[in-house]
Amino acid sequence: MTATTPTFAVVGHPNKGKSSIVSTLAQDDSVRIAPEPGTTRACRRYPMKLDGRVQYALVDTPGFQRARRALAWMRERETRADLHRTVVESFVAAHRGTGRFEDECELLTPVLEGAGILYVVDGSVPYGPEYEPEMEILRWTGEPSMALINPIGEADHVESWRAALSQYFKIVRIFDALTAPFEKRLELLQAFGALREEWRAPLEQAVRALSQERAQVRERVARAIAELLADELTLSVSKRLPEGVDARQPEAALEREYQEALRERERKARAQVEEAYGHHEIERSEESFSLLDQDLFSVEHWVLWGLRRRQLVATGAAGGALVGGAVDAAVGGASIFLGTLFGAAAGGAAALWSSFRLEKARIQGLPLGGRELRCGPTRNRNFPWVVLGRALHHNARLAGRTHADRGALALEPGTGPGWADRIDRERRAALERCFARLRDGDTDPALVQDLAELLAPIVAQADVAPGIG
Amino acid sequence: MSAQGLGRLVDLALQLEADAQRPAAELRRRDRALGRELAGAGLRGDAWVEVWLERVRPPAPDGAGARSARAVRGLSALLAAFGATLGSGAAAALFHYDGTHPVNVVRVIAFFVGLQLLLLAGTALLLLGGRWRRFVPGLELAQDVLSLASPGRWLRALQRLLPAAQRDAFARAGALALRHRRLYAEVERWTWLCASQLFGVSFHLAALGTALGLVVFTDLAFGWSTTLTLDPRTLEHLTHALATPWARLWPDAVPSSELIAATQYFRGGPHIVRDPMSSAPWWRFCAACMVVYGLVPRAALLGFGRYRLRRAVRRTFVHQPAVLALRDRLEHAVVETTADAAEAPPAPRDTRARPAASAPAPGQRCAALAWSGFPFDVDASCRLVGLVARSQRRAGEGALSEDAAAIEALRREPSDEIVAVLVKAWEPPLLELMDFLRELRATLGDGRVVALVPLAQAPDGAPVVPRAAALGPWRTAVEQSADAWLVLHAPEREQ
Repeated sequence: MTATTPTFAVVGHPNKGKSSIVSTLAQDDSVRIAPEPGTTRACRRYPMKLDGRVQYALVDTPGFQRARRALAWMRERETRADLHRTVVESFVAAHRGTGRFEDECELLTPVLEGAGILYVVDGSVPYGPEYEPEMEILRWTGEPSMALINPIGEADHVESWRAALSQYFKIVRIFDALTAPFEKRLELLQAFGALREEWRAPLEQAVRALSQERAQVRERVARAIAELLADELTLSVSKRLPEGVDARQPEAALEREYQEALRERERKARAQVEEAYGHHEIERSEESFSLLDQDLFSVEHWVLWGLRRRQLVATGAAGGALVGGAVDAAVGGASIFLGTLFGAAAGGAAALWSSFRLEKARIQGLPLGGRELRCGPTRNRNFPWVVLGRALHHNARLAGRTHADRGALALEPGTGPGWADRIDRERRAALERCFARLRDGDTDPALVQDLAELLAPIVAQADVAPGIG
Repeated sequence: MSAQGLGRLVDLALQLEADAQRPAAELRRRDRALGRELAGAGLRGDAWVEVWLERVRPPAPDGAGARSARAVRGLSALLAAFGATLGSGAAAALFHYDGTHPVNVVRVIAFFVGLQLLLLAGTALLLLGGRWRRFVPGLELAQDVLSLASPGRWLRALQRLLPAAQRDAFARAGALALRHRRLYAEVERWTWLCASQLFGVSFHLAALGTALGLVVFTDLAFGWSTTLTLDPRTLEHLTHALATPWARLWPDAVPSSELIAATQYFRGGPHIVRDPMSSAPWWRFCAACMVVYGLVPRAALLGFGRYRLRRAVRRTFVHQPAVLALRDRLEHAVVETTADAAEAPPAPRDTRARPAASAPAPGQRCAALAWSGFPFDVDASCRLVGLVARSQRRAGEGALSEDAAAIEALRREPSDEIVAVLVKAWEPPLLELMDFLRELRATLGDGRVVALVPLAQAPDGAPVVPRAAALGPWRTAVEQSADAWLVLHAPEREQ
């Protein structure tokens, strides 16, 4: 790290969301966030590195615990305004390691080393004068500063805070660490550049890099979903049947094995997507997460996530029309497009008929004799859409989730059915063609890449319009 | 078969499998460093994957890829030798002439034309993809049966003849293909096809060589005979149709009607071979049939198979998802934003049980102290929690000397009154408050109850008893203090 590396110390009263802000901006869910004051006991540095080079660093600090007493100590030694900073330095030097003012020494150290000050308050609780000693001490350090109003609760006291903070800080911004969308986070980082002119360029470069990285994350997610779809559409399990054995019992066991394998694959994809977004410690609550974690095979679930009947018929008809059209072309149009017509009708009807039929195990003869029980790959047209709907919803929840949010992933009302309406018809048809190729056993290694490229803009919609899915 | 390409594909697959087990951050750092080195090299297509692979898994003579490549070469040689032996044997049998029965051209046509066309049809059926399987009933079963007869499938049996190291390498490559069936199915498919066509080419080359050898080094007599009542004109039509591809280039290899009429024989007849020398022109027709209907299609299929295999290897090298992820790691800067060190563990808590004073009874008189900007009316606040304030003071704001004065004043209050410290429930219990409470206790001495009363603010601005969740930090602070007469006073909130 160079001397000009922009560094920002996130300081303030205990329990006012300092760690939440750091967690959100650093995209780090390992930051401890707890209601007890004093959870953060020592400074912790979060350097933003681009290919190993530090662009800027955030420093999470303990909160002020004895600001009034500290200020009183400083005032006793105050001589002139130009010596305020020296007095603060003397304070830290006098108390470091003594056990008194431990938190104040710890939080003031990065500031005295040249870090910009990000003073955090909770805009959902009333302003109180007990904050003034903290702000006064920070002012005495002479470092550039910005106040962040982080509304943790529902009540709104932002205006009174803004009025008070404006007297101590040139820049006062509102930033909800729990819900801030990605673009807002970048905006805030860019605003840090206003604190010192020489910090502007590295911060802008960092913002560009973060923005590009986000685009890469979307592509990684699209690839993970494409791989999931490809694997699930081609998955099959089989078991050789001994002669004379009643197939009913192994049939049920094989169907369970098949469904469990599909679920397991989905769980793996979910972990990959969470990894892509840097979420490593997402709490999984069975109650709230059950719609994503369980019931992949419940009919209700298929109604929720699959295509609507109209869309199913349309995609089935499009596939049928393609085959019928080939017949028409083969006879040079002599069939007066009856092939296309019948193909579309048959495709649509088949898609509708199979829309809620799950895969059953079936017995087939082996070339060298004997019988084999096989389950999958599924030919159900709705199945990939159910998987895709769930995956996109999971992505949307993660894209909008900050790293300070420690709640369980939950469904929001109003999402689910109809999600596919937001995908334009051409793209839906192209996706269906990819699904058909996978169902038909097409083993072209580029197929997953094609599918991922089709999915990338849909995945990106989660950032543009949070809540898709 | 492109053995080296297949060997490197095995290396790539093993490397990608190993990488899948390593932490993503470590892979990003490793590959980005390589990516920055390779950025200026102007690599195109799949070259960058090969260069990357060379760096992370340099080709080694005893590596899995090299051993697999040697196994593939060994198997190809075995398959070619097997094909050549069978081809030579088949030609020796079909062109056998011991002076009694001439070489029956009908048999040669049946074997080197009819059977070959059937086998080519079988190969074409095997090449049909999944979409066809859905529309053509029975195709899947036919393909399964045909694939069992495909010489490419004999590789598994032939591998037993390989040295142990190559056998293991081949088995590992097979297991790898099975684990990632969708990724390597194309490569596997064209590998089998190439192996089958290599067998076919060897078979036909050896058959042709043997036949020509017999023509050159022995005297053969040709004729044609069949139980079927075949008119010589029918055979003439058939042979002329078969000779169409070379009729202009090599007219001598088209049997004349005289030749056909003169060389028909019956095994029971007295003169099976009337004039052996006059039947000799048949060899040209037989050789041309072997080349055009046996060797050329197999050689063409081998060429096509090798092209498709190379293409499949290249596409698998470049387009499989793990390689796309690798490209992402090579091309894009590593962005790290998380902490550079683990967080310090939380402060240990004193979990020892301590005697606790009983909570104040309703109507208990108290000396009230509003702490640090407590914003509500003190009397009303005390009434809210069932206390009666007999005196009011403020502390925790202004000068420190005011705190000391408040403590001194509280000391002088009647000892039967408890001290109620009113605090804002939405603020955390800071060490400054705990310092004050410690000093207060030191002044009051043991026995006098100090009640900590946190109050919240209702939407209309009035004080309310806080919700239980908001009391957690206050309860912890009281529990962690060493003061047995410090209590948290927060009557249950009415819902």
